[in-house]
Amino acid sequence: MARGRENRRNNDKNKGDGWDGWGGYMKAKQQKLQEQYVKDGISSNIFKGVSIYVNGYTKPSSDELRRLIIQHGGVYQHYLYKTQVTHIIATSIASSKTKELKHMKIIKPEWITDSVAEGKILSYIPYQLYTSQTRIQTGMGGFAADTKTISTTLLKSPNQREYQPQDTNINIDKSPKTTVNQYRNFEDGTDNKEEIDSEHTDDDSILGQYFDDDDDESLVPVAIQKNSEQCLAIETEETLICTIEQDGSTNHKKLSNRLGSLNKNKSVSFSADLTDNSFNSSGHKGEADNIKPNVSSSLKPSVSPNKMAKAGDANFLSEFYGNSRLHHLSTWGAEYKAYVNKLQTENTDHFPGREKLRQFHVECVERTEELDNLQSVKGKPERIIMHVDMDCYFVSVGLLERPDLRGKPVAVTHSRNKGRTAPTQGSDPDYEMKYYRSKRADLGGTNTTSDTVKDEDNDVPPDLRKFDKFQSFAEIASCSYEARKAGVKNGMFMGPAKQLCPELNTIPYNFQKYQQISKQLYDTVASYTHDIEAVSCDEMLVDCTDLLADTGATPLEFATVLRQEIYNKTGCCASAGLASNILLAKFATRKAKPNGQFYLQNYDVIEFIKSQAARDIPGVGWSINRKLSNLNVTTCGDLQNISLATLQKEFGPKTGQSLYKSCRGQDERPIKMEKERKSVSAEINYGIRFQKEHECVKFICDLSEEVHNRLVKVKLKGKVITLKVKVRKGDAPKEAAKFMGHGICNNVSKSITVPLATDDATCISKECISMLHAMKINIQDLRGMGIQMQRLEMEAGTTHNKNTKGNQSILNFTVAKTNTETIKQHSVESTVIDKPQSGSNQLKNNINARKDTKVTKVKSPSSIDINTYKDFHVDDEERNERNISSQPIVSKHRVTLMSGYTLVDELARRKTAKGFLPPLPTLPSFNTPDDKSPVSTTTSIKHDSPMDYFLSPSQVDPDVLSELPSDIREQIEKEMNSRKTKCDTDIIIHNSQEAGCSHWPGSMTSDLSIITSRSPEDDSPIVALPSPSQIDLDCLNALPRELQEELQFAYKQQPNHQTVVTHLQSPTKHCSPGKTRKTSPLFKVPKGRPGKKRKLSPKKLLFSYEKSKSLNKPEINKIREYDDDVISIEDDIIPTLEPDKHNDIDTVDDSVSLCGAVTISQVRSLLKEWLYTCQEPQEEDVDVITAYISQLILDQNLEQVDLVLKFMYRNILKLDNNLWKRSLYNIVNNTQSLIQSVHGSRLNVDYMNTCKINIKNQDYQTIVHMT
Amino acid sequence: MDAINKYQVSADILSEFVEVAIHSILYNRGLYPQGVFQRRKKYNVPVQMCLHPDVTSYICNIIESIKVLLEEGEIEKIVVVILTCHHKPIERFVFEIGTSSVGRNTSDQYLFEMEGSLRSFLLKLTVCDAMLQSLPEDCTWSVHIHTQESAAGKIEEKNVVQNFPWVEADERQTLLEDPKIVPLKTMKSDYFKLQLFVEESSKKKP
Repeated sequence: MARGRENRRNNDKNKGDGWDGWGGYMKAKQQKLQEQYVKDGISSNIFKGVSIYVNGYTKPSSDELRRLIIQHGGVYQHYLYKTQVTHIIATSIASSKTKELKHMKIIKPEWITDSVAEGKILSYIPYQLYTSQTRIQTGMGGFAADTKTISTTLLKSPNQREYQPQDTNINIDKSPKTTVNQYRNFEDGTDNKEEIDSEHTDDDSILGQYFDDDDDESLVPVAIQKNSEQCLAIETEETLICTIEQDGSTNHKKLSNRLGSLNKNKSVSFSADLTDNSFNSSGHKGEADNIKPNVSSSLKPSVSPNKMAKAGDANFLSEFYGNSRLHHLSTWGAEYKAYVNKLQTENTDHFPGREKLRQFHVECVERTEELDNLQSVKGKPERIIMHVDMDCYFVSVGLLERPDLRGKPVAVTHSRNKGRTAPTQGSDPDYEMKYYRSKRADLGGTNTTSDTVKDEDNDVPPDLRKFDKFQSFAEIASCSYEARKAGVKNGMFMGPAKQLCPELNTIPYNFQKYQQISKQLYDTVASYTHDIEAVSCDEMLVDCTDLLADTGATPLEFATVLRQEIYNKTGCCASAGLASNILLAKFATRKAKPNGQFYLQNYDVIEFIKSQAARDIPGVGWSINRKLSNLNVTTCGDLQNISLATLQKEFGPKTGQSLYKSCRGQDERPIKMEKERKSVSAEINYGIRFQKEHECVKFICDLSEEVHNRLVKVKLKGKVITLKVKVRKGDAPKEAAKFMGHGICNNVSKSITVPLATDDATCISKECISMLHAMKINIQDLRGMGIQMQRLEMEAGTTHNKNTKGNQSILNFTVAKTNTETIKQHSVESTVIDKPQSGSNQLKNNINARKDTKVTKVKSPSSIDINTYKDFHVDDEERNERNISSQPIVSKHRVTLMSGYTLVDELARRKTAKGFLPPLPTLPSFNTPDDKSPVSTTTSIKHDSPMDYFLSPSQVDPDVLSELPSDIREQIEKEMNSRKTKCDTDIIIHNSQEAGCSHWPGSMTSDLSIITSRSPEDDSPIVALPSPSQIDLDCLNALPRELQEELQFAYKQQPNHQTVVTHLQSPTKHCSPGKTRKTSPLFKVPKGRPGKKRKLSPKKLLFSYEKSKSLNKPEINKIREYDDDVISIEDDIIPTLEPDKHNDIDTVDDSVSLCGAVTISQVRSLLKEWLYTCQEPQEEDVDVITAYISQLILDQNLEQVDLVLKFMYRNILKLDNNLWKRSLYNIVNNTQSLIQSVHGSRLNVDYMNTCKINIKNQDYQTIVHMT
Repeated sequence: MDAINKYQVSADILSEFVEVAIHSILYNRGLYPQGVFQRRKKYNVPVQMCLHPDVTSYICNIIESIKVLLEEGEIEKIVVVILTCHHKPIERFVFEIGTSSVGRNTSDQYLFEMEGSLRSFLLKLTVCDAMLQSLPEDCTWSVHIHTQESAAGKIEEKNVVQNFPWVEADERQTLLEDPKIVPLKTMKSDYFKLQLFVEESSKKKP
């Protein structure tokens, strides 16, 4: 401010003295200021090109910094010109300023002093006050360039001596004090450094060490860094004070401080205190007392409560995914698979790389021509798979930016410290250790003691040998070969790794860079061939058979060229293994590593494979290896000695088989160009600590959003939503040993099937929340949560022909039938089919065949595929009709609401997806007077008029209608208007298209035998309205007035239909002459709508097909198909108990029923009615009974069969009508033959023998074998 | 409740029930003298349980191995075969187990209905002698299980430990002469379907 005022004053004053041009004064002033110090003499050029601006209070002061920078060739800017200033120096910075200076490098002043002391410009990265980059460290890209300048401008200036002793002094001062530190003994590298300290040897080496360690420290997980500028500032102070030896322990404190400061508001004051403290101590550097408090406080593990970005926090999810290595790996894996697919589909035959390879090959041949011509036998057909794998990928990419670490042991991990942290508060590592030990013991079988010792090396995951409370639980994602030599392995925890290799350097993740390099890698390989199977971001399988045949190069030549090119392009080394199959190629790569290539010739295979370790076989993991070592197997050779039977017994049939083959080097898997996705999920098991319900809900919503995004990305929708939850194990400690880890948990999962495949985030989250509630879990015990979508379907609008049977979309089945004739043909075809599987294939074909015609012919929006829904509710509906205003209505409502929701959703989506208006789906209605649900009213239709599945005017809720998108609304309104006027034409359309049953081509085709046998009614559409005679006046009167009117109107409108309707009545109707007969309301509905019973959801249809397949009894398959015909009317015993909320298709009760009658008493009264009203039995009716009994038999309900037969027998005996008797014999005969085929024996019908039934017809007598 | 394995639950229930049912059959068909039975209560109805240690241990062994297979969902039928002294089968009490296609979520959470159904099975068993012809003297019995093919391996694997081997049934023991079915009871629950019927040879008396 003061300066600003001065400027103004100066400006005014100096008007007219030559500087009054635009900015003239400022320019002159700057120049003067810059030159001011130059005259002191430039001692070195290390800061050449660096232009700093000092912000606020710093230590050393800005004056001092200015002196240093200018002395060493840099530029000191007094004003913050973003274009000129390269680095901003600050010890702390206001948060508002951090935003302003987001894209600037803000560096701690130590960078200057240390660089000067070092005599070269150091990487500024460890000194960054905070990382300007958001989550992925983009800024590191710039570092590579910087390092180059370092190496060139490296000058040993005399001045640096001034600074070095100072730093070493600190070291010397501190070293005695560190003996106070009780953890000193654990401290890695302590001895080493103490030696150096005491010897006062080469300063450089100490400093080097110092900086290295400092580097490690500053590589805080970025998520934390971002929010903790203040604390990092403290850290800088502390690092100055504390010697290397103390780092480990102070880290505890620093880390917790930093974590504490995540909650910014609180942390400000807190860190301010600390700053004071550290300032104090830095002021009295040499004094032991001042260090002590630091050390001791650091021993108290939790100065502040650990509060990292918890699940439920606003940006937890993005933060988590930004930093999750596994997340990136999996998404990249998928991405590259997609990338390769894209390349393949683009299918350019232009492979620029091949030319190069040809050239190289020619050169090679020229060189080695005289030696052997054999190698270049052109076009040999042998299959060659190359496995390309980058060498310690994360590390080598990381080293691109840190060339100074080359040749040193390096590990990539989130952990920034040296492998020790304070134990998380409330955690009990001992408990977890015990748990893992006991788990190991369990797995190990009986001989635990000897065994654990033996396999310890193999058990990487929780490395228990070195399990101690203060170790870091950060996992090492990748480590360099130098580190591997020391015994460090990928996946190890940082703590034990540091013990194995004290001088292990850590570098952070750089996900963007990985991705960039991976892209280059894939592009490189793709320039040769597209026969690539992407395995992960750094690994792929290449089928080079074609390529080599084309170019004539040898496998090794190709590998050489490719690896060279990869190295040139990416700067990272790749290894390549070549062999005749995938398995061997992978083995060969192992041999080739690091940075090599290996071609496993076929004649070498047998010897080669014998020497391979069995645990290296892909698919052999921890537990298989354990079992193998129990069998004394270590190499594949050992494994070869074990018989297939033993292996299968030990590992299960599949794994055994694959092991048996693998250890012989056999592997028939082709390179998979395209893999079908089975599920899409998002899961987070880190950092979940909910306190409040709403946090959890919020989290689920976020997670659902994530799943939604992923689904959208792959253009899929899922039908089954699974919620996986990790719950803290009852006796486990509250906190896990790994910071914010999940600790020991019980895994609980629950899934639900939604009627329509969805990718809608709100829908998913809603289901998940309700599932979570159903689990009844204490929110605070949640430690992990995942949402998975299964049974994926392509998004509507895209064809998905590759669908597997299980994946089949209901929508596929719900196509309008166009021609009765074709259907009939199809049905006939199907009857011939014996195998259920081919039956369903046929079915699929039929549907596909019909699809095309459908598009052109169906015009009426009423013939839509909503029957899917309808069928779900058939039960409810029919039950409802029976007792029209009774209890089950409530449950039904909810069901409708649910499916209605997804439906509307689906509607909107399809609309947007396809760009045109889809046919309007509707829902079955429930014309109960109390039906007020807006969704069901809009989307539902009247059950009385299933003929056209369109809402009746009375059912349209104007409010809801107005809420609909305008185009949909218009469609509805238009349709409604046209309906009013064009009733007659409508009817004609429906007759031709048979809207009702046309939605059920699936069930129609499967109906085969029934269709053919019960022809009259099956050919006709499903009944629209029951015949007027069947209307129960009581029921009608109970309806609201407008509904009544509507019904009456409908009846008036439908004279044309009456003929059809009579056709459709239940068997009994054929013989009941008088329509006035009053029947009990109970049976009216089923009889009035016999067509209904043939409707089955395709789902169920498939299911029963599968069922019959599993039974493997071809001889009864035909009969089983009756089973498909099961009438789905709910058993009256259970209806009210039927769960409503989680109603999925599977829960549809498939009780066998006779025209709706399920229980024996219902069946009895139905039969009674039939027997006593008909003079003589109709053949169709007998067939219905036979079918019903067949279903009962197949439904394993012989008891009811027995009862039905007995009942019929008793009554027919009373009737004493020979026609009836004959029918009974017919029925009994059919029943017996079916029972014979199913159970191998016949039903005991001895009771029928006791009375003589006179059979006139000799034919029957011969057929019927009754004892 | 969804977390519970459906097969596990049905295995628990069924093995318990089959044990009771076997005892009940033994009593009701008079395979052992009435003196070795004791009245107990199960499913809230009186049942008879054989006290002879060999018989009980034999049944226990059967149940134990059946349970293993039930957990895998491998068993289609459990059959108590009653044989004459010449080892000719004359009656087969068939417990046919089916998987239920009914959804799992139910209101019968405390299995009251289940208990009721099982109770009616037992009651039906106690009256089954009225529907069946009486047995000849000196009958013996055995238990057959009808499993899926894959079960064979599993039996082998598990039985090594149990020392209670199952052997493939002799055809002579499985085939009845001119069998007739007398259905006894059928039930359907959320976990399984169960029907019990008796296959009775029409030529019981030699």
